[in-house]
Amino acid sequence: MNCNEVQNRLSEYVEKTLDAETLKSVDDHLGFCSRCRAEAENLARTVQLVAALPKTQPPVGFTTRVMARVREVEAHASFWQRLLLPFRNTIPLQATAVVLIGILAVYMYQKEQPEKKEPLAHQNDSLPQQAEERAVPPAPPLPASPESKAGVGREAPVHDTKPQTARRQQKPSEMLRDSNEQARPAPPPPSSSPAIAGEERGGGERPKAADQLGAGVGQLQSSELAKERALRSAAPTAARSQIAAPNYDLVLRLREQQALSGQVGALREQQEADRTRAPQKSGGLIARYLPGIPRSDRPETLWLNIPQTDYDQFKKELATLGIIESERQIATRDKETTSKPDEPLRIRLTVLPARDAGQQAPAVQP
Amino acid sequence: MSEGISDSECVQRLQQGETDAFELLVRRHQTTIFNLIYRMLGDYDEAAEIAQEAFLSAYKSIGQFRGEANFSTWLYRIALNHANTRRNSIAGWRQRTVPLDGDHVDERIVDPALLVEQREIQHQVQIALNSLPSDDASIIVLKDIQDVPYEQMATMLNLPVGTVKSRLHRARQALKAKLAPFFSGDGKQP
Repeated sequence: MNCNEVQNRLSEYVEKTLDAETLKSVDDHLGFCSRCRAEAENLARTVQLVAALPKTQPPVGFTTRVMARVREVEAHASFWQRLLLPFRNTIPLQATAVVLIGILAVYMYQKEQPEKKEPLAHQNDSLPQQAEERAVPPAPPLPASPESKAGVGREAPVHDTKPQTARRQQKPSEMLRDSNEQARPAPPPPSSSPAIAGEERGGGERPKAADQLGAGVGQLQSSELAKERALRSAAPTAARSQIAAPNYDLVLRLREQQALSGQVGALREQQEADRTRAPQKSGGLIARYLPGIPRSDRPETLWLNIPQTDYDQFKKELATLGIIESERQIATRDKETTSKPDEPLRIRLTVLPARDAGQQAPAVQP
Repeated sequence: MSEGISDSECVQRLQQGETDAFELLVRRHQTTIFNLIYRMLGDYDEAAEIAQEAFLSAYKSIGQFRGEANFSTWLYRIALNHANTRRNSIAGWRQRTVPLDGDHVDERIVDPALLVEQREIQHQVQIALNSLPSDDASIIVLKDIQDVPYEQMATMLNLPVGTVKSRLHRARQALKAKLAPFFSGDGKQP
């Protein structure tokens, strides 16, 4: 062994912990190497000097002072420390904190889920209602009837299987107005209510009238549905404003068939003449403003736009066709204040077929 | 509480909330721990203060003791950490003077001259220890003063046994160099 190898083993040599073979090698080297021998001796001395340092006793009362501080720490322990005291030595504080945070996170997550579901729940709850509103809009204010009372807001009058019953409680003019208003802007289809009224008055059924009655009922139902749709899409006042109310509501009862045929022929001739020359004031207003020859076999409602200046003459000419049973001014027009004197009057003309013999109705003087 | 209770049983009781079990542990290990810290610091009063802190730290962290090592090994580590923290917190520690504690010499020495010489030697050795880096001082105190086995030192310092031996030899060589004036050129004792 060389000096470096020996000097690296000197601590173990001094402690006498070398194995026998290594110990012999070191002894042999130290026998002839004075420098390594001196190093070995100095190292041994150093270890001895350190080991000779006396064991120093702690001050008197050291344990008492230590325990006093321990009691202080114990007394000032926090609530959580006391709570976790039985477990503080078995469950690390960090693990406890992680568990508590996890519980809190789960709680908050579950708390948010019902809140998120509530809007959906509300939406789901409202969807059927909205669907019902679309399909079954709120019914217009109709006179109380057994059918209308039942399921208000949920049953559409269109589902009312007895529209005739509901309608019988209304005045014919109101029925006509209601049935016609919903048909705006196009001219309303022929209403069946006059037919119904005619049935009531006339008492008899004609084959064609029966079919037309059924068609009229269907038209009434469709007209009611259209009316409800119009009311649903807009405010009632706004909906009604879209259907311009007539200025005058006229009801004309045609004369007998034979008397009417002559008048009809005259009217046709007049209409033909109007195509070639300018219309004359007298005798030509009916031909000018009526869209066609009124039918004599079933009620018919016509919407006419007649200048204010021609209205009176028009009524006189109507009297040649029949009896004006009623005339009602619906909207007041002040002719003196109107900015457009030539603004036409909107006339709703209801033409009723001739009465049977023996039936009389009051006539309105034109 | 009976003195025959082992350290592990005391620790178990302490972990279950019996604070009195810690007093037994303090009484059993106070001299060793105090002496370790005293030789690391070289000042009696400072050693007393740091030793209290070390025991208090052991009490507070008793829940972290898993029983994988001896309680004494675990306590040694706490004490060394406190001592080294104290050494490293004071600038110029390695050059500071060490008070001569005459009351703590070997009472078996009756010759006054020898007693004075002995005190002077101890003083110089303490000064030499203080001048060493904390790691060197720690390993010398543990081995040459506390006579801690190499295996326990390895566990305490978290080092292999071979590394502990080589570091100890290097520390001893350093201390020997500081004590060279006390050695004659021919190796004779001062």
